[in-house]
Amino acid sequence: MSMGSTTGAALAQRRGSTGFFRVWHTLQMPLLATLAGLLLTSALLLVIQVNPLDVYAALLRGALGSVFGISSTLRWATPLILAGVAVTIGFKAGLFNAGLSGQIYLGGLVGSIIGFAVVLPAGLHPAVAIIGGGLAGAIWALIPALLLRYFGASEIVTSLMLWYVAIGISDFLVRQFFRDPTSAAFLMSVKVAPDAVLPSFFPVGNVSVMLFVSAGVALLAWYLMARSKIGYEVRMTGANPRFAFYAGLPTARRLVLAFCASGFVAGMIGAAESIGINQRFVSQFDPGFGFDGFLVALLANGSIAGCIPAGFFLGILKAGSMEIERTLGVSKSIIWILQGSIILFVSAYRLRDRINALFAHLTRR
Amino acid sequence: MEILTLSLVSSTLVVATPLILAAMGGLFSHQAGIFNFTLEGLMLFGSFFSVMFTVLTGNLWVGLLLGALSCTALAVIWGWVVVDLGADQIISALGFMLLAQGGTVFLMIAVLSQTGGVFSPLQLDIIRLPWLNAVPVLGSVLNGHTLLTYLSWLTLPLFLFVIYRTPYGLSLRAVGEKPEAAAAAGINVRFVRYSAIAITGVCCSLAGAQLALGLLGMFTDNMTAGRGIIAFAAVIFGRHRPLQVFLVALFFGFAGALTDRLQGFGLPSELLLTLPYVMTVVVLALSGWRTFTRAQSGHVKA
Repeated sequence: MSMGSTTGAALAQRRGSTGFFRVWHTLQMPLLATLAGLLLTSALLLVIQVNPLDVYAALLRGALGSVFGISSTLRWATPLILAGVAVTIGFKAGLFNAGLSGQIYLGGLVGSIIGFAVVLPAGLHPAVAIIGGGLAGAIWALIPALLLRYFGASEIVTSLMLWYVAIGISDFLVRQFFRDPTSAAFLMSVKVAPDAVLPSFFPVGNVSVMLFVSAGVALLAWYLMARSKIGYEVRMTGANPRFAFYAGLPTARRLVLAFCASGFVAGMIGAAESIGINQRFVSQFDPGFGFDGFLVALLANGSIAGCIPAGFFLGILKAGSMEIERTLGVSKSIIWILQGSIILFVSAYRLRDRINALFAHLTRR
Repeated sequence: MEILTLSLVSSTLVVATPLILAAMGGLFSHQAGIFNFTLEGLMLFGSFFSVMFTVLTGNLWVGLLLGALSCTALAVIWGWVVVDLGADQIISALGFMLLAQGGTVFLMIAVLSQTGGVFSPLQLDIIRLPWLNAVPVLGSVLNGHTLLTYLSWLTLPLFLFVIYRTPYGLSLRAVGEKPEAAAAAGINVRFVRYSAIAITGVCCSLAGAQLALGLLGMFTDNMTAGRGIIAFAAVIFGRHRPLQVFLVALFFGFAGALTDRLQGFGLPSELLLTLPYVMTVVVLALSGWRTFTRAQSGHVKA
């Protein structure tokens, strides 16, 4: 896994290439996988007799063609950047935090509880709620981290299973103690206090200051991972655990730390969605940020800062998918298929090697 | 109201059927050295395709057969991505899971013009053998299941035989343990891996069909709800050995049946529904075994 995410950069380094080639090698696999995904979705669209170009045009129009579209793209990019950062932090340590959604869910619960149950000054309230949500996510991530640390239990399976447990616990607590009595059909908590809401600074839509917080968290995480001592230790643990261990690094503790950091970032997503977008805890509020986070991280190809552009790209897909459903009547599940096939092919490095070999062959002639 | 009754044993067998089928199928891939995390996606595809083809053809058995074929074809495509294109097994399997969620929704709209869910006109029959009824205790427990439940029990002796007593099984284990040595001994490593993945596809398709056609009589969006991941946990915990995997899957089935039973006792259902997942985590932790070492992840060795 860690190999797949770093081969591009490693290859560029080995060849001693400079800026452009380095970026090109890092981008090759994501671009190739996106192309494969577009081919597959186009074929499916042709089968149901829809012109794929119409769909992609509607996608871009919906995401970038209007103020509302742009605000919608930014609104989705906000959590998606963070989700990508959370996954990439895990990747750096050689971890697979597949249970991102569970940490997001609990973060949403705790963030909204702080939002409606705690009295705080206006400026401080959202910040405390988001940090509280982050801590909830970190604590939830601590469970699979410790199970991996002391029992060697696969973090992929345990964290995924704990996602379902997080949903059960949160829904139970909300139904039992915090339920909004006026809503009979949907399970949701009471509203958060007005001063805890993150206001939108866009004329339409829901783009809050959280967008800059997301980008800031990504840059901070990138800086810490690339420049700090602990970041170096985490990267060494992921790159070669045995070497790091024999070099005297506290690998087990760095593993747990990275898992919790990943969970913290995930928990922030849930809290921000709850107080910023829904202004309360809504059952099943997460539209699949866990999966999306993997796509962002894989497109960013192991770069934390790269999650910012990758998050915007996926934000375009999310915002545009509503438009194609609305205007063309094409189910937005076509976008899931596109995302799924990108993830399916993004680590298929021999596909790249074959194509490179083909090009080399052609140019030699 | 008693908790531990014969009907609990009977419903354990019902709940365990899809888990056993998927886990037994999954262990085949693992025996060949493929970490097959696609069980969840394959089950979802399997339940959808079996319902879709049953609706289209109006024949349950044709539906099951065509469902298994298309599901197996998709499993082999994933196999191509990991075996020949060298993709990461876990990452591509996550993509496959998303592809299954999107693909089933898309096909339901495109082929059947339905959203949310689709009913099947036919369901798997409950088999009742009169002579088995005469047996005092076993009769009420073992009787009255679908064909696929009985088939799931048959996989145990069948797979034990195939894996440990046939030349193919020997190749399978050789490829799983040391692909280079197997290749040097003249075994076609690619064929063994593709065939193992195909067998996983067939089993997971039947597991999905049991959910859709045996239990509910319909397909709904994302109806597998993590059962494929529980089956994967059974493969991991059972160390991809048929008997162990079978028993672990049976135990997870018991957890599910117990959950269903306890719901009648006024306990909060949200918390109860987490029981199978909690048990899976506890079992994995208790195994105390390096269930997933870094060396096993990543790319398939050629």
